[in-house]
Amino acid sequence: MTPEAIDSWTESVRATAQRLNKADDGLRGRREDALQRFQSNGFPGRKDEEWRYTPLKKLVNGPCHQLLPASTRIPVQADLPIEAAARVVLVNGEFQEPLSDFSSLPAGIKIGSLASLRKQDSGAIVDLLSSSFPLQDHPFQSLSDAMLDDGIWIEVSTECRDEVATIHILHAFDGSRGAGSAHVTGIIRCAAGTRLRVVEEVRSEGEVLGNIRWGVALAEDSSLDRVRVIRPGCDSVFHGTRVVQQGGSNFHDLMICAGSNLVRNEVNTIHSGPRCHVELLGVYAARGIEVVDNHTTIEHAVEDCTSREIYRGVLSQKGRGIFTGMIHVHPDAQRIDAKQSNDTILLSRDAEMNSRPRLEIYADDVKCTHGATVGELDEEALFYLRSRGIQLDEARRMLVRAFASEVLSGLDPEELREFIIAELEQCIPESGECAP
Amino acid sequence: MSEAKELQELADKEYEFGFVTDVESDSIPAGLDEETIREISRRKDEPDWLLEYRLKSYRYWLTMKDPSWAKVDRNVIDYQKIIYYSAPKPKKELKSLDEVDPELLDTFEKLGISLDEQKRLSGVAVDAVFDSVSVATTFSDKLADLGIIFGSFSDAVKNHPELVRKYLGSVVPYTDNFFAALNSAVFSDGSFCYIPAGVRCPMELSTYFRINAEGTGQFERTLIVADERSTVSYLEGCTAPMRDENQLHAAVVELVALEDATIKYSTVQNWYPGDAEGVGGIYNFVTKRGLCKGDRSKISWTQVETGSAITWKYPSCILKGDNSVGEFYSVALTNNYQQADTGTKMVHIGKGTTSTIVSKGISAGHGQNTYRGLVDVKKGAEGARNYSQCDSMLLGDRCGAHTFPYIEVRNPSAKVEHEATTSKIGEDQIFYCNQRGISTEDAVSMIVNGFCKEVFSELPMEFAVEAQKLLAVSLEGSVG
Repeated sequence: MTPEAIDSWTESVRATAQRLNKADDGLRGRREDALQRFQSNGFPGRKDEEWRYTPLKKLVNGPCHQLLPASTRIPVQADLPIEAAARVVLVNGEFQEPLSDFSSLPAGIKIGSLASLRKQDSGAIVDLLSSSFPLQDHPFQSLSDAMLDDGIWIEVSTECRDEVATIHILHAFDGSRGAGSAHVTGIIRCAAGTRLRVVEEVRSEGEVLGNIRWGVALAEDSSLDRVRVIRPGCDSVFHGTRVVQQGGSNFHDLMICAGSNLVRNEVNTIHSGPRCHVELLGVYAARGIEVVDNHTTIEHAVEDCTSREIYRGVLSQKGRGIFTGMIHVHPDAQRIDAKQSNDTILLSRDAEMNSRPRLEIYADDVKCTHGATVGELDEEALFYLRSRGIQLDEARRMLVRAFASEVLSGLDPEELREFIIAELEQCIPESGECAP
Repeated sequence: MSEAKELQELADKEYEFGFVTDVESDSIPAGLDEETIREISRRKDEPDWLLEYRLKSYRYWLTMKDPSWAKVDRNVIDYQKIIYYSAPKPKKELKSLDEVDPELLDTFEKLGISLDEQKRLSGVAVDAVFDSVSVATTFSDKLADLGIIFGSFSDAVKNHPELVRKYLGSVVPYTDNFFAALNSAVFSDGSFCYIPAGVRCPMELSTYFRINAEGTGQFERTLIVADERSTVSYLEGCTAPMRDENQLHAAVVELVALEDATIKYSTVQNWYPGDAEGVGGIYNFVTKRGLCKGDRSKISWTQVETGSAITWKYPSCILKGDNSVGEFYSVALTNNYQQADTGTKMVHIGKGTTSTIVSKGISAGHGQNTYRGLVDVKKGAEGARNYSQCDSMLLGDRCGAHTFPYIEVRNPSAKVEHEATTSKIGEDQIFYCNQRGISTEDAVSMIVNGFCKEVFSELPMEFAVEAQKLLAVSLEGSVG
């Protein structure tokens, strides 16, 4: 990373922060703090343990430091086969009401832009932000905070206890008029006993950094089921989520990602009441020189909670996968049951996997396991299929599908699952293209 | 509860091997600069090339920062307060054990390894390192008949400079890390071992390290070279007397295995862990690395780490030769306020290389036990295979067990598996034993020994018994 490149980012961030600060919207302190952090830390390199394997050089030295201009253009891609009660569209970080659709949204769910919330009550938004996103030294969080403008918030109130609504959120990044970045801040709050389903989709076109972060608060016995699909063709995507779970709440997360240049996915869940459950699932494919970096932390801060985590990746050509998964059991957090696994298939000589499962345990009555495997497709299984007249490519596809389906089996509806599997398969080259 | 009382009694038990032998130490003043290094070199009557090596290392060390990435909480070490050279004053030229300072022999006897007894009964050649200078080497003549060179590092520098020069720093270069650089600059003595081609060493070679004089850091240097088709098994065991001041031990161990050679390196480490409040104890920061240079060579590390206030080491294997094999078997126990950040690195370079990692961590009291390991499969390591298993056991609710494996794979034909589990001893297990008249203490000791069995079975006979005893002693007072 050249110093000039860092300077151009800092300059661009400072200019934007100054422009936004003129509005005097109560966020000045937050923006300045974040700018300060960004100025002194810049982007992390190989020496930073948390970013050790993540190749940020190209992004940092590239032209994405400018903000993307406002746009209403959504990159054209086949729509996900889902039925949703509401559709929320954000283009280049801005909430697009005309493109969104709230017509069949249940009464108990409120969706709005942060900008409109700020107009109603500027004090509330400052509190909301500081509880959802504690200030920290994190390059992408600092960017989001320093240039914090608009975003989205979703609130599920106790009114809609008996319903499970699905909300479709589409992040579109339009870089067709030049490279740049856009930063999205989202907040989800589920009241006690409520349930929500979110299907989040990221589409992007051109040389673009899509920087998305979510702060999620789940009250007692609420549950959030989230599916994230990073569609093929994205350039750089940072996607971070911080979840604070109260007792008895449930967070179920599925991340699907294939065919994008650089994806960093961070999920950080904090269990602050007993009987919480979190399920973090992920399936990803990387080919060409694509990189998928999954970085998760589960903070078991109190007793009697459970977690399950499975990330599976298929890497071909020069594709790279990175997995860092921390399970942190705090002192006195007894009777925790945590399972984690990370499995990777390497389909070519040049593919590379870096896996770092981590356990940090300070309580004794716990069951914690993690497992990691890296290898190629099972020769014998391939031989078995081929001896029954199945072509090599078809046999490979079958095995990869079986590998991924363990994670995807819970994905409903079936059409969505089939759609996802088909899209994943498209991002795995035929054997001829990645011969060993 | 009687159990609690029993535990309390055991918890109060003091470190068995805490005593200081009064031997006149011939030390140079504390502090480190180029002159200290020249002085060490002068006293040891070293050739110029070695002095140059030391100075080069020292100058490099000055440019480095004291590392802080390990998951340990420690005091800042003042490197100017350490005495870098301390040798028992030679009263006269020693020819046989009878001439060795009786006080020294007494020390060893207290440790249960009286040299002459060892010599007569166990058939183990012991190169006893008392502080920094070897005082007696047994069985040398017997080994010499086979062409095996086994003795102190200083002797090797005098008698076999060509071998030392060729291999010193070839596995752990002085640029490797902060403590390796420091060691390369100030190492006092250690062991050197060379097994000629085709020779199978007829006995287990063993070194007993002791840290004695107050404020003396031990900077051992061990170099073992196994020539083609040779086999050697090396034992290293340690105890240290009780001290309040933190003592630094920064050793470097280098192993080189040429074609078809096998080196087995076993360690039982029981240095002073500090008292029950976490005061004092040894800082054990050691760089251990083996190079499987030739095809089909094999290096196997086995360690039982029960002592030291802080253990920070990663015995590693560089699997360069095709079809070479690396193994790491470890039991690390932390009780009271002990901390351990230990594990291994397996670097697969050659084709068909295999490695096995079995790590058992036991935490009790306020102990913090971390496994940190790297499995690195390079591009050319066709068909490489690794199996890692890291199990942690927690005894008590104030301790911690942590696992940080790093897996880096750049070859699709490689198969890498890693598994880790964390558990505690089940109440039902204890109940089952109690029912059958086995006390809780014995039951825990039994279960823990069972937990570590895979590692103990890798130890040579002499050590396996000692290790089991050590584990039981170290665990005393931690059951709850």
